[in-house]
Amino acid sequence: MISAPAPEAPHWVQVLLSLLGVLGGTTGLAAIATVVAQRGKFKADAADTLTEAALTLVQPLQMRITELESEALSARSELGLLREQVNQLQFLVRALSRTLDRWRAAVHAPDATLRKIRTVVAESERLPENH
Amino acid sequence: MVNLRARAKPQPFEVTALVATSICGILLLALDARPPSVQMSMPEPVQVGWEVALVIVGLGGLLGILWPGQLSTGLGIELASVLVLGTITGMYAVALVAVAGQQGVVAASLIAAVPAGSFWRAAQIMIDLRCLAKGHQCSTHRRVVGGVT
Repeated sequence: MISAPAPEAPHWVQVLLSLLGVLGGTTGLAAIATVVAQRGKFKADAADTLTEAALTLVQPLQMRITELESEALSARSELGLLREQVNQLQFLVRALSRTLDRWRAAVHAPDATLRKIRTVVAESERLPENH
Repeated sequence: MVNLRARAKPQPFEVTALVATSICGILLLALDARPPSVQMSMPEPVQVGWEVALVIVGLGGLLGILWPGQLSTGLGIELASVLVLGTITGMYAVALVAVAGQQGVVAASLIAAVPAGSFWRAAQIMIDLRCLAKGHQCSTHRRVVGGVT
């Protein structure tokens, strides 16, 4: 059948198909031309669309970040305050334990008398006021 | 962080039709064979243009779908390819009916589904392009967002 394409279709079919082909081809070219010609318009708006899309995604994250940042800031300041308090307490504990040691030594001393102990206690009572 | 260049999901029927079209055109050109219905119902220059269009449309359509640049440019290329795809498959369907008559009912109707789907897709793309150029709350926009999340 391929070798003998003698029986041709009616003439109007050929004309119709040629017209269809030309029409489709021009439509396709016109579509490309239109889009290429209006590229600038699409460019800005496409960027807008993407930015909007990005914003809708980023906004909650940003809010969360500022929230966490302020939380971290307050936590950090609180931590500084607590560290200071701990330092003071540590100092106090050291001073108290030193006083206790001194008193214990005075009490356990072989030649301990009530008077000696009283003088030791009286001496160390002044100590916390110094600091 | 997130890939904002995400676009619509690929359309399986469109992609397969485009791949098949380019393969068909390349085979026709390479083997120098033409279907008898085309030989009988188209003038010689139209036949050549038809064959070349098969290849161009297939490859061009895939290029438009995979276009790495602007979404609108890719959609434009896809639109043109889909329009021409509809035209040339429609031409083949007409040729089949004209030559084979009742014997070609199955082939012609199945092939006629390709132009129908092509023009449908072309209308979709045109609506999307108009949305891209004008509105913000349109399907393309929603699709961009939907594709991302």
